[in-house]
Amino acid sequence: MPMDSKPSNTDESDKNHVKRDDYKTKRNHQDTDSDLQLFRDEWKRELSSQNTDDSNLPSTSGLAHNDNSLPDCSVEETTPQAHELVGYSESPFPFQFTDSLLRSWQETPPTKGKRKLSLASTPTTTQSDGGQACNKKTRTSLVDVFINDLNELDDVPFFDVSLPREIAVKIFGFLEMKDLCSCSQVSKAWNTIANDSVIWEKVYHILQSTFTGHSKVTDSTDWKLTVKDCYIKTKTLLTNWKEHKCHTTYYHHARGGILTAVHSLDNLVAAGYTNGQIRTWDVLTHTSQTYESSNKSLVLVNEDEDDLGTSENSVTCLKLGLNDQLIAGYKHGQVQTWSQLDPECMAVYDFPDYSVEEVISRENLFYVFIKHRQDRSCFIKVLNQTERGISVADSVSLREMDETWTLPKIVMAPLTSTAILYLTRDSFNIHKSSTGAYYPSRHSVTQIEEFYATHFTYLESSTRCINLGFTSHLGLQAEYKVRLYDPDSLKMVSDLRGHTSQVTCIDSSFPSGSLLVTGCHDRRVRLYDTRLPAAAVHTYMGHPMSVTCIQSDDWKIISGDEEGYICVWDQRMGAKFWESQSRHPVKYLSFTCNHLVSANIPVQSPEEQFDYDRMTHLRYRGRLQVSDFRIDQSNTSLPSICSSSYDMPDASNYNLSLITPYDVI
Amino acid sequence: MATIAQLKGWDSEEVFNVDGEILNQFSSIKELFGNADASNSEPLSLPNVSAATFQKVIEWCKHHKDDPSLPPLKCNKAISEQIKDVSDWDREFLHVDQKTLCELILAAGYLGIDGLFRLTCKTVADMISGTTSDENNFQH
Repeated sequence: MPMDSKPSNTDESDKNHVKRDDYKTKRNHQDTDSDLQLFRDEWKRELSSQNTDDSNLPSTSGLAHNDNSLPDCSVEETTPQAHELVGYSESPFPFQFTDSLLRSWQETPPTKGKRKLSLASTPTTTQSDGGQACNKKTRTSLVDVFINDLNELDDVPFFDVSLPREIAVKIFGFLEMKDLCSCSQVSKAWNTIANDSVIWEKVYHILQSTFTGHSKVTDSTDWKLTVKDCYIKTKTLLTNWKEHKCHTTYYHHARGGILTAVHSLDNLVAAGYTNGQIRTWDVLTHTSQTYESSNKSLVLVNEDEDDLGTSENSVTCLKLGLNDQLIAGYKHGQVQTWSQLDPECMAVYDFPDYSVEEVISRENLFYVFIKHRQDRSCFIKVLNQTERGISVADSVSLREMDETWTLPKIVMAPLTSTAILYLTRDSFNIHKSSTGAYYPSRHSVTQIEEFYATHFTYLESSTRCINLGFTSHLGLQAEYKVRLYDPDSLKMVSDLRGHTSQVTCIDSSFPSGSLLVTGCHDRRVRLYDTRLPAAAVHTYMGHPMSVTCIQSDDWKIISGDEEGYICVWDQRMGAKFWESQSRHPVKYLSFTCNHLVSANIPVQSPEEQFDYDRMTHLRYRGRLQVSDFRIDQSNTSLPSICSSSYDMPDASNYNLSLITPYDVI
Repeated sequence: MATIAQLKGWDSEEVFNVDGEILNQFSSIKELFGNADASNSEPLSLPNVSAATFQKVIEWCKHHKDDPSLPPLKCNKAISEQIKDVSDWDREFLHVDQKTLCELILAAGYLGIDGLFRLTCKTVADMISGTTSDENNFQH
């Protein structure tokens, strides 16, 4: 109800004092229905009194609305037609106008009818109502009634009281999506509120984290539709993952030779090949770019007198970094960086006589694990890239490593930006470097734990924990464990038991909870709850060979094995959704909500090198595949010609299958 | 604390003396009574609040006058999660019929009492949630 009418009302109350008293006594006896009639009379009287005022001042009648002495100045100010009508005071037309006004008020569209009912039963509740306003000491002017009637359209029935729309929206804002949907079925008035964009925008922002697989919507005209759309897309995506409905693309680079290293980040996939070339693909647009190695010379493999094999400078490790950075390590000791936008090499650093085994990048700092080609002495080099090129900031010497040592040797430490974790033969260490990294003295190596008679098999870190898989030999017995460390204090938390062979891969990147999955040499995938370290929560069986790669999210686990199988598991039920197989061991596996990137990289043994048949034949080259699960497969299952109707004459000859039921004919 | 504002509902002559602590919770009208000494001026009539409702509002404000100011609602979290703890006193306080509840909402919205407004709106929303559309129709 408008507040601005108050001053004029008090003004009025002095003048119409007698009238009001009279009205008030009548009101006590009258029913609410007869209230209306009373109200009409009141208005008539008011209008006629104004006519007399007008006749007293005929010359200023046009400016009457400026005169404070007039009781109904607000009527004239806000509704100019009303003022015009008052001018024809002799004709019955003004009363027709008021009558029609009142009649429309009396008519009963659903909201009004309900409201009127509640009015009759509970006169104290409807302070927004015009008829009741007369009950006040200060009489509301007629224009307020008129405005109230307009406002009434916005009022919303709630139980048996009507509320203004904005309050109704506020209340509905407290509801969940499901309740909003059922509320929208109640009535027309509720429908308009329950579909209000303000509410649905809020719903979208709340549910946004659960909507996977599409870009964030920042602006929309119909938020309910947006939410619905996202909801359906998310459902479809989930079904596609479960039922293996996807569009798979195989990325080949024939000129590169055999696939040796793969990495993916966001929408980009990079692959390194034996002849030193690197090729990147964008999984959305399928555009590709090739990067050449700076050193293509052949190097003698073995300096023994008999065996004079040579080897190409193949890519051994590859990382896509932030800020469009690409970094690769080569077999002949080069570390090379590119900007992804530019195929020209940005910087090279050479370690002669060493081969680069692993590389990690963190902005301008690179950690490189190198191994001497003959005596197998190992180093971790910290490289610092500036505009002038790459320089070595620090070097950590490791003792001679085992032959059986498998990846990864170094991983980024969680929670800090400039520390790495690494393993030597019998200890687990952290290497910290200061942010500037220009002064070698600022680097520090701390030993986290020392082991005896152990063989490390995997090291993995996430923000939640650091996981180290190892085998400890106690006499003739071997124990297979995963040891968890707290990333903050670097103290041991617990040992996960229950493996029957060596742990080959670990993933703890679950978005929530304390779960962890491990892949094992005994062909099983295990799910652990870190709070229950004694035994696995679930064991997933079905791999024919040792598990090599694993990744999981909150409902599925994807694992790859030596035989080339990729299995997708239902995390809770322990069932296998589907599997697929390619020729070579799965050495790289990574999935986002939309895509699964996997690579089957051939095992390279020195004897097979430079076998030209193997280079050229597709089946020996390894395979890089990207599966896109976004596509709604149901639309593309049948060609459009099959679903043509019979009444299309030009397509009638091509109706091979009867899609249209006979009863349509 | 001294009375600094005199208010009354629209439907009765009963005057409520409101002290500063409670008035501070009426964010929409507290500015009206800046430093003026209101004890001798005319009582202000609240056009949207009946005397009975106002009585209840003051009761709530008295009980909650020491509450810390409410944190603003975050848009990326469900509102029902952000205000889930309703005290026993509040639950008892809101154990009224629907009509009174709606009046309380109107009054809280009009007077700008954020805490009460959220509480009452949530109560109504809780009444709606979990019911099917048919049940709502029936109630309605």
